[in-house]
Amino acid sequence: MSDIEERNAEDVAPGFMDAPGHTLREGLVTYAIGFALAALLTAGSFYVVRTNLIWGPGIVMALVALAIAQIGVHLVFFLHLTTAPDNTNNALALAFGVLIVTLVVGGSLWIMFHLDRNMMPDRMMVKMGLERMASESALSVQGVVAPAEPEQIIARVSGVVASVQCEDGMHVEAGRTCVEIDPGPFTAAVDRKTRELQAAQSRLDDDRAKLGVARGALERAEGARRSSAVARLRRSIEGQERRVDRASADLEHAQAALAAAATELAATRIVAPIEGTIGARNVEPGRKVSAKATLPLFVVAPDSVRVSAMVGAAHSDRISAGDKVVLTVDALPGQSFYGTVTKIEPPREGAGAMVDIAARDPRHALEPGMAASLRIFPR
Amino acid sequence: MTTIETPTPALGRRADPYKLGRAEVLATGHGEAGPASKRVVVAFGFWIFLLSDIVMFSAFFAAHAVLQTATDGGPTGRDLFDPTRVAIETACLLTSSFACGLSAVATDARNRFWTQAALLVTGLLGLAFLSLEAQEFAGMIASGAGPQRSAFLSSFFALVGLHGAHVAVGLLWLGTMMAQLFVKGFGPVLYRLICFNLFWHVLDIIWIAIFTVVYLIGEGR
Repeated sequence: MSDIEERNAEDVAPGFMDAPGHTLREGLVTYAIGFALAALLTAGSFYVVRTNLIWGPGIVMALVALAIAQIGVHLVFFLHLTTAPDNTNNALALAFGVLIVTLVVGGSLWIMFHLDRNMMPDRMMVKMGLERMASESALSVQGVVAPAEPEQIIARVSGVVASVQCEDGMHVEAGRTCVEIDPGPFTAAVDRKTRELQAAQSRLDDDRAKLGVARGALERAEGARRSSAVARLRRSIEGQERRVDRASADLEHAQAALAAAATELAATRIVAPIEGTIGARNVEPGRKVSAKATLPLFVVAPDSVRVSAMVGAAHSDRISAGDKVVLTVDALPGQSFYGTVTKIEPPREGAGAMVDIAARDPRHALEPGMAASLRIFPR
Repeated sequence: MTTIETPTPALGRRADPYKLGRAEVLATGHGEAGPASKRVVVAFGFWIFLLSDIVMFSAFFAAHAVLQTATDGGPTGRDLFDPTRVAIETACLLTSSFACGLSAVATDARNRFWTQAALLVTGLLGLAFLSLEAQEFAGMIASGAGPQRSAFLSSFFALVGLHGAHVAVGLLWLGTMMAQLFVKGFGPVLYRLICFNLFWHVLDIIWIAIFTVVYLIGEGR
């Protein structure tokens, strides 16, 4: 370290006092350890994404843990953030920085997640595109909220109810399982039909093999010009061809029966047909339900309402099904509802075209008969 | 029998349990060993700036995290990102950071040649990183996945571009300092070198967050 002692005066900054006790070797070792650890953790991050070792949803947590570990390595080995007294202020500043970063990032994610769930169903706002919202091509029309027709949840197969997973007043997504019928008999039916299908398949294979053998024999007999054997073999082949036809018809029948059994098995899981709120429960676990019953197991009040509006004949050709709609009602100031055009009737003489709109209303705030102001955004 | 006197820390004197074998380090700047050295004060001031920079980055990170799935039917991270390129970029930046650390060791030893050499490697690796990133951006824009395509891509270009701009400014700073070091020697450049070291390491820390959040997690979205 003689060159450190022989330092020139102009090599020292004004007011400079060296950090004590660091030799060249120590410095190199510190950086080398830091570099090795950081490289290892980086490789770990890239490996975690590729491997199947970690359960899918856990990968994000693993990546975050590795990143935090690596940031720690950088702070200690590269930025020399230690617990030494000279470093207290730096560590406190860092703690404050971490607090702010956590608030900004965590808070944004938290708030936006809630907004997303409550305010922007189906990411409708994103789909609509904000620039289109401002465009002057929007059509302003008046409409009326039509009564909402609840959908019925019915059983399509008969059986004993194994479990009921929907309650009165519960909010459900479309496709959510509400009732499960004991699948036992239906599983058994599927198994039986599968075995029958396999049997039919092996019969068909057998018959085809026999037919092949007989055809081979016929060829040889024809080659040897044994006319009596040829006639006998021809008759036998005709019989066997009929058997193959029958067997393949049986196979098709067995396939259809298996498909029907599988459909019935799938129908033991009874799902909500639309997104909405469950009501009028009429099912208990352990009781039997019938596919012929007239009373539904549940009804679902939809989260969307139908709004009818009259559009002037001059504008009706600009609208097509699927156009986005924003609507407001006088009774609920400050609230906007989002929907799409579902149906347009051709314009009638002297009137306009009737347009049907399905608008999302997850809180069931819209009531039948309310007058609505609509803005339709033609594509 | 004689009683064995165990040395007890004198009351009123600071028994610092966190010295970790650095008994000679005095807590300067805490009213005990005089004012902190200029080295400590300069590093602290620059550290505060860097933390404010990190806070600014956190806003861009928050925006990107919220908008990561807002692709408007356009390309997603899975379609756009090339993990190999990201791995090479990461290796460049990490090695650059390491080389920058070595330059600090050489600076401590007041060795001009090795300081300049380490700084040169730092700069070249930074340049390699920047050109890879420019290549990625150009490819994305050429394939119609520019910042105007979707909110996801706007936030992507804003966040990754901001980091790239920091790297570019850092390279300019590095070049200037190498020239100053060549002409004037260590004296006036010493604190700038310390600050540059901090800056460069922090850029690498931000890149850790970017390759984790934007690329690796974003690829799975």
